[in-house]
Amino acid sequence: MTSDFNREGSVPRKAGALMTAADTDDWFVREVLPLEAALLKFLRRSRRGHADVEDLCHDVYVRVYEAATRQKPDPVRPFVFTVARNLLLNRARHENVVAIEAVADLDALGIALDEPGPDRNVMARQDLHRFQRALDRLPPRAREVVVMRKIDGLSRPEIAARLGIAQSTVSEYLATGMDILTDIVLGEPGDGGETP
Amino acid sequence: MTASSARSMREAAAKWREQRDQPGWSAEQQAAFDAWLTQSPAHRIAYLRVDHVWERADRLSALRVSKPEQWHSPAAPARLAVALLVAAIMGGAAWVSYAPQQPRERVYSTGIGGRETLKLADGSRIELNTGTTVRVSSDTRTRRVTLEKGEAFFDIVHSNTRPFVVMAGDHRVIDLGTKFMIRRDPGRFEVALVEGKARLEAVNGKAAAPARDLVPGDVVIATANTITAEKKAPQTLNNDLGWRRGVLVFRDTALADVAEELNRYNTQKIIIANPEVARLTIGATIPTHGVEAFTRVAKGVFGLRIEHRDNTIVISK
Repeated sequence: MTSDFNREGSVPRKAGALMTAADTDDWFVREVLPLEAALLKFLRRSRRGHADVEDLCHDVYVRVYEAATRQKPDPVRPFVFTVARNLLLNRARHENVVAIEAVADLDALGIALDEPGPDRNVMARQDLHRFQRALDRLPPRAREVVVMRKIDGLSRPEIAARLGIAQSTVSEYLATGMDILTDIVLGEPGDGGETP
Repeated sequence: MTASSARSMREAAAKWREQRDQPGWSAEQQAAFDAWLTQSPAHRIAYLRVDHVWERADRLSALRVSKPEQWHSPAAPARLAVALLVAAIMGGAAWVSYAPQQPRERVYSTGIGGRETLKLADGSRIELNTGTTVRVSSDTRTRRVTLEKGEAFFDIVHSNTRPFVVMAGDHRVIDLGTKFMIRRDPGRFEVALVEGKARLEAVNGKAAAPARDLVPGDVVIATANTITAEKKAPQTLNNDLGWRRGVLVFRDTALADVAEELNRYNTQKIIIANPEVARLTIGATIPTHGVEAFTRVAKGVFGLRIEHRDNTIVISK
């Protein structure tokens, strides 16, 4: 589904080289994931009262990713939001909803698109701080296990022994912890992505 | 997409990510994981998402204070972490009191057939190939890696203020935003630039080679007396770096060279007895541990004789 982009036509793009799957993955992580907070905000505003924002976000990702396997959009941000808008419009048509107020906001949103990032040292510290805050929002047991793994650097058997639980339970907590952590970290505004 | 599907895919992705991390991850699990990944781009994206955040979470290790064994209370680490974080944010003075005075140097090694990925706090990655030793040190001004021996692939997050420098014998490679490979064998140095830019300098004036800026595809090989530069196509470079995926890729390669390469990865060494056998060429993709696969080919395709002696395999006519 790249038609989102072509239909729009107004977003400038440069010719990009064909990318391998790994390149597309890297590109996606570097360029698209940092937009998650803004994208969620946009989708939430547009879909007030709808609980499907997470799915919409994922749908946007799939379309952007598939488009990028053919040609890397540049600049990325307007492209992502154009895809999101078109997806919302399609859905609105499908649901016979007449107006979507926030869709018109896209241009307003675009103003802040190219703000300069903070310098790298500051970002590194912010990133640490961001993860620290995210940790504090995990359920207690998941947090405990993530702290032991990521801060203390303990192995699964060590964590299991220390907490008196099975290793498989440690793994479950780790999986839950990383899942929630991902939503928190990417969903928080101002995530600069992987900090150089 | 149904209302729950993004959620369930993301949960599944987290489970995969966790499983992959565990020791004993098997070929069957890898196959099942690959199948899941290729089932839908939505799966792949769910995985990229959680993998990215989980790797970045390694940054939390900066909060590690002392030997974890000292923490008996499960609640203590989080509390300490908060205190330390405050210290880190307050800046230099408070932080220094927790950190060792001198730049920390750590040594990482892989044995024969080993492969390890080091993730540095700044997001850079170093993949160590078989039989490799590196020393890593960093302070606020520089990041320095010394390749003592072996081969490593560097994927460096560039910083103008903290250059990343790799020392390997008489050569120094300075990252200018880069992915590159360096291999050091006795008397031989090789660097291949995959992406970005880097500068190669001879530290010791002997070779009298001026510093040169490398661009993608550049491969420079230096020995005590010679220095050669060539250009390799991305596919060729990718083949050369097959070890990162656990395979060795050979194209029209003499059996002698195949054997030598396999011997780097395996304690069971291959010896080729006759020069005419050594000159036979093959094209193949062989797992780095595929001594047996190789001998099967030698026997089945070339009709060669295979003889096991202690820890060696002798191949002859």
